[in-house]
Formats: sequence, C-alpha cells, structure tokens
Amino acid sequence: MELYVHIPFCVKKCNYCDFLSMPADDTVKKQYVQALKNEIVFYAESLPEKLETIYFGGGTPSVLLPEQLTELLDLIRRKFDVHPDAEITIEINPATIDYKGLHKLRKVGFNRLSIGLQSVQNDKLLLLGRIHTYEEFLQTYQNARQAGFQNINIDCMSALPGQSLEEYVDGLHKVVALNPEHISSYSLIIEENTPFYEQYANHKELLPDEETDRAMYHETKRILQEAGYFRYEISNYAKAGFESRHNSGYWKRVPYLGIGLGASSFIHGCRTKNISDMKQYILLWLSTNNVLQKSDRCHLVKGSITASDNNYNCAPRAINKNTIESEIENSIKDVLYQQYDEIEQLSIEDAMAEYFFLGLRMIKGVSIQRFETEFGCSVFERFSKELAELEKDGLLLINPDEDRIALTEFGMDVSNWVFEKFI
Amino acid sequence: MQHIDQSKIRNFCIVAHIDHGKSTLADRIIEKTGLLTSREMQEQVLDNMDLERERGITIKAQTVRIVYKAKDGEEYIFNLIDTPGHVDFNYEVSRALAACDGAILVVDAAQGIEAQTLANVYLALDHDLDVFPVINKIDLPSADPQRVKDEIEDVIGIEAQDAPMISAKNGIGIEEVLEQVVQKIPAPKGNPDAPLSALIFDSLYDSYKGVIIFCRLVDGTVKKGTRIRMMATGATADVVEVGYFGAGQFIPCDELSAGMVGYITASIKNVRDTAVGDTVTDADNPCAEPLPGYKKVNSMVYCGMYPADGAKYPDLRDALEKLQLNDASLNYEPETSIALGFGFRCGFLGLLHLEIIQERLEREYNLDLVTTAPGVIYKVYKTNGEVIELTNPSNLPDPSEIDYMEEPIVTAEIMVTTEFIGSIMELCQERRGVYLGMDYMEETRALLKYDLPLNEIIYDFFDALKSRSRGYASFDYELKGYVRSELVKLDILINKEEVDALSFIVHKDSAYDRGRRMCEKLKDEIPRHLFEIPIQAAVGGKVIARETVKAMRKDVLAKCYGGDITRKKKLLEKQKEGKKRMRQVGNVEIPQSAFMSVLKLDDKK
Repeated sequence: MELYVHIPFCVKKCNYCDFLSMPADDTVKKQYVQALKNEIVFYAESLPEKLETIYFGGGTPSVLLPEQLTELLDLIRRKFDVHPDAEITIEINPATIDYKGLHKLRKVGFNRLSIGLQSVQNDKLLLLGRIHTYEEFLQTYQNARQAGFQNINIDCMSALPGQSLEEYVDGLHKVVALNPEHISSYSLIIEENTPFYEQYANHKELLPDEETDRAMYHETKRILQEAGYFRYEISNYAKAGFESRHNSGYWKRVPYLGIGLGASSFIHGCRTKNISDMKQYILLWLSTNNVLQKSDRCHLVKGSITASDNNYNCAPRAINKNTIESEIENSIKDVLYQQYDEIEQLSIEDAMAEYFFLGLRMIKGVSIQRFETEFGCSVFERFSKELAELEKDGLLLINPDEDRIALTEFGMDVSNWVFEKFI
Repeated sequence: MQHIDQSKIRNFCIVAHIDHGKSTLADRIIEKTGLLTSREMQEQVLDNMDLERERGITIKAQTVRIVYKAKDGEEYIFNLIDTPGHVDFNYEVSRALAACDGAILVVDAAQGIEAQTLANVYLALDHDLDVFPVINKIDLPSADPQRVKDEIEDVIGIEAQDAPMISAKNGIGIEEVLEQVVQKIPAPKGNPDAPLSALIFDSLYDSYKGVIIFCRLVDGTVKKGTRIRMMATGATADVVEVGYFGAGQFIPCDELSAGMVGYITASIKNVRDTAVGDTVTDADNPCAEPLPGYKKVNSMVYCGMYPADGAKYPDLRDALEKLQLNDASLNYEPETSIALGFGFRCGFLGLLHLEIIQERLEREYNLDLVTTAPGVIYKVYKTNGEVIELTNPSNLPDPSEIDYMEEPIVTAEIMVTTEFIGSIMELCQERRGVYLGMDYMEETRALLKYDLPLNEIIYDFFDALKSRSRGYASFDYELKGYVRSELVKLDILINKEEVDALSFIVHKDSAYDRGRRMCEKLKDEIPRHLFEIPIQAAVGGKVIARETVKAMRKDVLAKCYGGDITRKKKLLEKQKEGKKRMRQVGNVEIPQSAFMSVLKLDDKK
C-alpha cells in the first residue's frame, strides 16, 4: 500500500491552481496537524498494511514547520510498517524552506524532493502567481543537494500564455543543466474556478495554439532523451531507476490510503475522497473537540463497511455502488458521509476502464497477461473492436510478444480519444 | 316546436393585432356577464394551452356562450368566438369569422393600427361582418386615443368617434362594450324550418365523445338522433349530443337551431372527417348547396423531424398520431435519412405551426427532436410532362429530367415606421421581393407591399424584420400562387459524403451565399477528429464553398494522479456520452446541434 498525506496550505494560491489548498494561520495549521495525527493513528490500527511509498503533497507541504512535518513522518513510521527502502517524497516550493529545514526533513527520512519551479522566466512566474523567483529556486535547489537529497524532481510547465517555443526550450536546457534525477513537464491546463479560467477560457488566442503546444511537448522528449532522461509517463521523465514509485502506483492501480483534507484513497477496489471542508475535518478528527466518538468512525475494508469497533456488527459482504446507497443501514451511511465526500465501489467495467486509461499513461503501457489474470478474460475478446480500430488509426501499439499494449507517439497527443474507447 | 328567439342572439368575435388585448377583453366580458367570478378566472380563460399562455397568442379558436342582461332589460345570448391570432391560421380565422355576424375591433391606444389589425379587419369586412372599434389600454401613459380614432376612420373607414374607451386589464369600460354588442352587432337571420346547414369552424377530438364539432347553425335545427352528413368530406354519422359552450365546459341541450352556435358529437373518430369550413347538413333532408368558402387546407411548410435517440421512433410516431387527432392541418409521413435514420416528413401551415408542434412534441411527449431545415412545396415540371410536388429536397429528380421548377409566392404587407423603411426594403430586396407599393398610414407610418417567395420568409425573416426595425415592424402575408423560378438543390458534403438531412432547395442567386454560411456554421459545430474534415457546399456536383475542420492535434490530460482519477473518469465518460448522441456520417461524428444550427443563419452579423 501507498500512503498519501495532503497538506492543503500554501502561502498564496497560484492563478492556475484548482487543487484543494488555501492560506491559513498558525492555529489552523496546528489543529490540522493534530487532526492528521489522529487520522494516521486510526488507519494504522484498522488498515495495518505495509507501506511501500509515502508522499506528502499539497498545497505546499513546506509551509508547515519542519518540526511539524518531522512529527508527522515520525508518527507514520512508528504506527505503520514502513518498508526499509520506501520512497518518501515531499513537495516543496522555493522560498518556503531553508537549508536547516531541508536538512531536518532529510534526517527524519524524506528521501525524495519534488520542487515546483514551473518556469525559469521571472515574468512568467509572476503571471502564474508564483511567490518565488528563479534565483530563489536555484538557492533552494542547492540547499537541497547540500542537505543530502539525491533524488530530486523539478516541476516545469509548458504552453504558458505568451510563451514561445524558443523560450520554453531555453528554460528546459537550464533545468537539465542542474542535473536533477527527475523532471515533470506539464502542458498548462485551464481549470475551472481559477483566475486563469476567467482570463483564458474564452480567450484561447492568448495561449499558444495546439501546434505550438505539441511542438513544446515533442521537443521536451527529444531534449530530455538526449540528456539521459527517459520518458516513462505522458508528462514524466527520469534518469534510469529514478521513476517516481509512488506516482507509478497510481497508474498501476496499487492501493493507496489518502490522509488529510479531501485526500483520495483506493482501497480494495473502492475509491473514496475525504471531506473537503476544513472545519468539519478538524472537528471530526480532533479528539479534544470531536463530534463523533472515535468508535463511531467507519472505513471501507475489503469491499465491506466496517465500523472501527463492532457496534454496528457489519459482517463483510459484497457491495457495489448501489449497496452503498441502499443496503447499508442509514446510521452507518451517515457516519461514512461524515468522513467521505465520495464513495465509489468500482464495478468490473470501471476497473477495466481504469486499467487502460491509467496504465496507458505509462510509456511501457499495460500488460496483456495481467489483464487476463485480473479480469478473467482476454483483452482481445473484451476490446477486440476497439483495439483493432485504435491500432489501425495508428494510436496503439499492440505487441503480444512483449506482452504489451501501449500508446504510439500520436496516441499520446490524443490520449483522451484513446481512453474514451475503454470507458 | 319553439325555437330560441334569434333577435336575442349575438354571434361575434374580437379581432386585433397580437398583444393589443384581445384575450384580456374576452376574459373581462366573460367575467362581467357573471359566467365566472374573477376569483375563478384564471388569466385569459380562452387561451387554454400552456403554450398559448406563454406566447401570449391564441392558437386554437375558443368559443364561449354567455348571457347578458342589457340596459333595455332584455337578456341576450352572446356567442363569443375567439379566433386564432396568427397568419399561419388564416383559414381557420376566416371560418371563425364566417360563423359570426359582427366583430369587435380592438386597437391599442398607444400603438394604433398594425399590420395584423388591418389584415384581420379586412378579413372581417370581407365576410360582411359589422365591425365596431374599441380603444384599449387607455390608461397607458403613452395612450393617444384621439389619434388612434382618427387613424381608424382614415385608414379603415369605419366610424370610431363613439368607440368605447377601455382598459381590459383593469376592467374599465367593459359595460359600454357589451351595450354596443347589443346595439351594433346584428342578430342572426336564419330559417329554423329550412333544411339543416351548419358551418364547422373548429373541431376537437375527445377520447370519450369522439370528435366534437364546433359549428354555427345557419338554417334548420339539429338534435340527438339527427343523421348528419359533412357535405365536403361526405362523412355521415348519427348525432349523439348537441349543446353549447360554457367556460371551459360543454353544456348539453335539446337542440340547436338557426342562429345558434354550439357543438355536435356523433361518435366520429377522426377530425379529418369534420374539416373546418365544411357544411353539416341533415343526411335525410339535405340543404341544396353547401355554405360558401370551404377549401381544403394544405400544408405550406415541410420539414423532417427525427428523434434524437433513434430508439424513440415509435414514440414519435405515437405522439404525431395523437396530435393529428386534434389538428387536421398537421401532415406527416415516414421518411428515412442516411444521416438521421428513421423519422417523419411533416407538413405545417406555416413556421409558427411548425414550432408549436415541435414544442408540444418536446414538452408534452418528452421527445428530443432533430429537425431539418424547413422548406416549401416546389413544383417540378419534368421533361416527360410529369409534375412533382416536392416536399423533400432529397427527392429532387436528376437535373437532366427537369424542365423547370416553380415556387410559391406570397403577398406580404409590412407595417413599419418611416425611419425603418429603408432597411426593411433592403431586407425584402435581399429576399428576392418584388415591390408592389407603399401606403402612408399617417406621417410616421407606412404599409409596404411586396411579393416574396415563401421559402425566403420561412427561415428567419420574422427575426430579421424585428431586428432591423427594433421590433416595430409588423407583418402579414397570404399565398398568391406559384411562379417559375431558377431553383437549385444545395448539397452539403462532410468529408466528401453528402449529408442528405442538410440538403435544401434555394434560388440559384442565393446558393453561393447560403452555402458559404452553412459551411462556416458547420465548421464551428463539428468537433475536431483525428483527420482533417472538408465541409463543402455543392450545387449539381460542383463545389461552391468550402471550409475545413482541422485535424485534432491534442486531446490529452497532462496530469493524472491519485486525487484526479474519479474526476478524470467522469470527464471521459461525459465526452463519450456526448459522442454517443452524435450522428455518424461516413467516419465523421456530427453533433445534433449542427443540424439545428443551420436552421437559423442570421444574415446580419
């Protein structure tokens, strides 16, 4: 199992960001950390699975004090069975943490850093609503190296408003020159409910056109490949052996537990999303001020609803989407919905669709064999028409000898078109 | 047997331009005569379809009988026949008028005479009705009753100085209107002992009683058991019940006699047997001649109607069947389109009639429809002497077999304030209008007369008229006849495949312009595919306009991590669902909105 810990705080929300994240004062942060701790303890007891990876994401986790982060990871390591070689990542933003802080994080066990750079051009950083300059990023990066981080990712963005192909490529070269182990490069997505949406949703002419966007994408692959980075997912590049194990887990459908506000989990074929109201979340998990007794909390295990004590006497049983709505006693449902905004037990069709639309994001694609093992039928029977059509259109590469179905280069450009066929 | 005294009957209607307050006045009259208390009244009793209320127009003629105790101490029976308020239903209006002996002309005290005022009042005068004017909305700040009175006298030539000054909305002056009905509208003068002749001015299908015939008795009597015959359709039946019209209900009575307005039921199964304008007579003692003025109503406008979901075809068929029970002027027959699948070619009296049927299908029957561009009936004269009445462009014979074609022409009257004359004339010119003349109503208003091809006004003429006159122009037309015209079939090719549902007939001079605009519109409607899609407009195999939908270069989610999966899946599902509802032509998916978008090609950008 993988563990994700959500830190929904940032210094200031970026103009393109639609993640669950907000500025907050120290009191809220303190309460939140305590709530997180309680949630960690609760799950460590009821879901005692071995953790292969841990990921602190946000928001900007580094807006918490290094001590708070240290306490959290410490607690996780004490309560859960963490694999000795576990990949433990934390996202940070430049200018939110200094050398001492980084050193602390390294010492407590974080062994991978993901730094949000986005652009090397300060005017673009300003436009994006970032709080740092390129120079501050460089400082943070050097500090991280000195603090002993030997596995660092740098996040970049392409297709920014007013950005030319040359500017982008130039920036990418600067990033490569720093020699990080991993680079992610995302083409800007204009998300609803963001300032960028207001500005650009109806003014696509202010953004690079599709041709430029694709040129940036293809150049990224070419330049990074020359520099020894291997593209292993649509937007992710790594030196050999430095692929993100945690993120790869999402695409391989490895179970994960999400802790924190609005965090998603995927446990035993059930996808849940924690409540996203900060007040409610803190009320729910703060033992000093809880509306629910700890024993009232529920979670989903092995396709069944289990209360954390046996008050509800829920025998394990097969459930599907409808069961959640109809069969579970209302009392339990109420309790569940105090914890989760969304609960979705996947059907076999859902799972098959995910197998493709997640698995095909990876360059090596999906395994033909594993599909059969997992779903008990041949992929060529289940999706014969779709596969033939997609192969004919030059979107899919189907290679039974290598036990592999993968997107072609063009398939990657229009991957949604491909994924839709499996939905 | 003693018949009702005809001198105490008044059969009349109200004519007006749309929005001048016809239905409101009808409501007040009903209320004043005590048939319903105002509390029981729902606004505008006579407009009883939801659609009518919403649009503020009367679609079907409604009739009500009321008793009025006049100042002379006598009780009078009023039969108020409310007529439809739109040019599409002109024939129904004319039959309703023929059932009356007089009419109240309602004119808005602020707006004065409008195009429909004139059209309706002339129609009434043509039927020898005695017309007296009523000036409505006198309480509006902008009311100018004296100007309107002068205008009525000058333009229409009827006495207007003692016209009641009323506000139907606020119930002012209604008494005076009722008195004038007694004084100015003549009593009927039929012969109750002559053979039966009754004019059908409407009919309604009721699932228990069968067809309910709305009629005006001209001569003779009719009662339960009378064997009746419809003289034009030849249908015969035994009368089950006769009666008259309460407000919203049928009140049976023993007999109907000359001069009366009422209903007849005779277990008739189809409104087609009881055509509006036909004469009901006694099958055993028929009258010598039918009443004048009957004509078969023909559809003027045709379009294809298809269920958005192909599986709903039987539902659409059932719904059309049901609507037709009550609407003899709705025609339909099954047709098949390569692009749209199974549907119906439907015929309507006009564009409003089309829209009403479409809305009723969507609302009352919960159907999602795709309609093709409305067209008119063209006459195709073939070289072998055959003549085809063409309602579906796809059935146009090969050009080599066509000698020539004819299209329907209407004479249109457009009332407009003088400042907009230029732009309205320009519009008529663009629509291939032939200028007939112009009359000034008063200094600031004129009545323009044009001959216009019907196919030029069924698209968006009314919208264009309104927008170019800031809403002030009003418009009326009647069919004039057919004239020879240089017509061509414009085809739309999407990725080189002809899309039959998008073909239409157009004058050859408009073909290029229309084709270009269709291509532009479609270019925006058709989503990008993996390949480039040419959109072409062609006439006789020759491409006259082209646009291109560029190939899709990018359709990718840059990010998909643990928190995104559910949301992204929903996004993909939604996209897929959208495509399912599209129509496949060749290897191109065409959204239904594309078919609808070309129905309105606004010509002023």
